[in-house]
Amino acid sequence: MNGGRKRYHNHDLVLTVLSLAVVIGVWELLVDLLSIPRWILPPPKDIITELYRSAGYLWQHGLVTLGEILAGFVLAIGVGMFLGIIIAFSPLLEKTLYKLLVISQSIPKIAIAPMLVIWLGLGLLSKIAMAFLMCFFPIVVGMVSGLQSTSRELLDLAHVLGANWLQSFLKIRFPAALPFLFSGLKVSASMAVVGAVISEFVNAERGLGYSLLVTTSQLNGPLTFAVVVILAAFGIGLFSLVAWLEKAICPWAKSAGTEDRTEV
Amino acid sequence: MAALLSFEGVGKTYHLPPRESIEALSGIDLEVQDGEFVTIVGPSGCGKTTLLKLVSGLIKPTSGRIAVEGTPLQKSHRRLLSMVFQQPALLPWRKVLGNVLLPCEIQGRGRGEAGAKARELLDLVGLKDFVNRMPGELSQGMQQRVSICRALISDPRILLMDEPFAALDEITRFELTRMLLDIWSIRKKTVLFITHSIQEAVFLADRVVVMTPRPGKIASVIHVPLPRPRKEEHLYDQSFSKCARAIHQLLA
Repeated sequence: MNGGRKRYHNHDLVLTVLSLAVVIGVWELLVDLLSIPRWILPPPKDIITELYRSAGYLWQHGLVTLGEILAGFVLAIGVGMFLGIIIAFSPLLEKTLYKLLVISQSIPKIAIAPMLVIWLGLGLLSKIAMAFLMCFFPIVVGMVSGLQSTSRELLDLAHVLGANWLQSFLKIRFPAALPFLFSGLKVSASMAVVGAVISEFVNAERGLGYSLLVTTSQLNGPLTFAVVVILAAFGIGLFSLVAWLEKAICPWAKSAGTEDRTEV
Repeated sequence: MAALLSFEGVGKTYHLPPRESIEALSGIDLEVQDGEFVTIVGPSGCGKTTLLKLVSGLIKPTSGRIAVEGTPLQKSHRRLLSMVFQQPALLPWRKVLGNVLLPCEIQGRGRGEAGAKARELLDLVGLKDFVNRMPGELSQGMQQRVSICRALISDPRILLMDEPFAALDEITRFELTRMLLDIWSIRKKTVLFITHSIQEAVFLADRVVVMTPRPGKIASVIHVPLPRPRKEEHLYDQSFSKCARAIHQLLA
C-alpha cells in the first residue's frame, strides 16, 4: 500500500516541477525575444538574482508579514472553531449570529482596512486583525457543516449506546467533522496572506506589502517580483502545511485510488 | 414467567407539519420471551423499523406501553440493549478493535478485560487478522461483522437488528446469517431481527412476526417448528415451505 502512495506522489511532484520549468523557460524566452523592459516584466534569472542579492531585506520584511499571517491564521482557527461549534449546536445562533456573519462577509474587506487602522492603531494589531477577518469565515462554515453532517446512523448509534452530549461530541461528531474543517482551513490559509498584504498597503512601515508599494513606486521590476515570489511561497507553504496536517490527522478522508481494499 | 419484552397496544403516529400525520404503528401487542429469536418481516412502510426504534428509545410511542420484564421502558434499560443497523456505521478514524470497544468506553466499563473480549468476538466472526486495520480497508460484509461484534461486546440481553444484511450480496448474506446463529447459540440472547426476506425470516426465527402497512399492524405471528441448529437442508424442509407460504399469503 505504501509503495503505491509513494509512486503517486513522485509522479505528481515531477509534473509540477516540469510545468514550472516550462513556464519559466517560455517566460525567459519571451522577455528576450520581445525585448520587454526589465521594469515591466523582468526575466526569471533577474528575479532569482535579486532574491539572492536582497535576501537580507526580504528576510527582514518577510518575517514581519509572516508573523501577521500566522497570528491572524491561528486566531482565526481558534475563534472560527469556537463560533462554528456554538452555531452548529444552537438553532437560535444559527438563525442570528450565523446570518450576521454571512452578511458581514459581503462587505469588501479592503474597505474595512483603513477603519481597522483607526480602531487598532498603526502597528501590528490592525494587520493581524485584517488577516483574521479575511480568513475566519471559511473556518466557521467548515466547522458548522462538519458538525451538522454527522450521518443519521452514527447519531442513532450514539443514542443507543447511551452516550451523553460530551461523549457524542468528542468521540463521534467532532472527528467526523474534521475533513470539513480542513477544507475550510485550506481556503483560509490562502486568504490569510491576502489579508496581511492588503492591510500593509493601507498603512505600514514594514512588511512585504509595504515593500511592494516601495518597489513599484521605484519601478524596480526584479525586486517587485522577488517580493511576489516570497508571498506566493508563503501562501503555498501555509496551504501545504494544512494539507499535510489533514493527511496526518484525517487519513480516512482520502478519496479512493491510493488505498487497498481487502475482499470479504 | 414474565416476558422479557412486551408491547401492549403500542401505536406511533408521526406528526408532520402543518397538519398531516402518519400512523406508522397501530395496536401492536407482542410478547417476546427471554432467549427467543424473533424475526419481523413485512413490506416497506409496515412500521418494522419504527418498532425497533421504539424499543431502543430513539422514539417514544404515542399510545400503549412497552415493558422490559414488566417494568415500563426507561433510559436505564438501554444498557440491556444493543443495536445493529443496516449500514455498519463504524467510525472510520478508529481501528477495528477501537470500534468494537466503543460501547465500553462510553458505558465506562473496564478496558483491560474488554480488550480481550473484543479480540475473542472478532475471532469468532473470523476477523482475527484484521484487528488493527481501519474500517476503510474492509469490505462491507466485514464491516458489518465488526458492527455485530460491537453490539455484542456489552453482552446485551436484547439484540436489535434492523435489516443488517440487506446491503450485502446473497452469498455473504447467507454466510453471515449462519455466523449469527452460531454466535446466538453460544451466547443465548433475545434477538429482534428485521428483514424483508421471507426466507431469512423463517430460517433464523423461533417465531416470525408478519406485519402489514398503512397503518403498521401485526397480521400474524408464525411459529417455526424447525429444530436447532438450523442447517441448509432445513431450507428445503416441508415445515419451512409451509411457514414461507403462510407468510406469503399474509403479505399478498
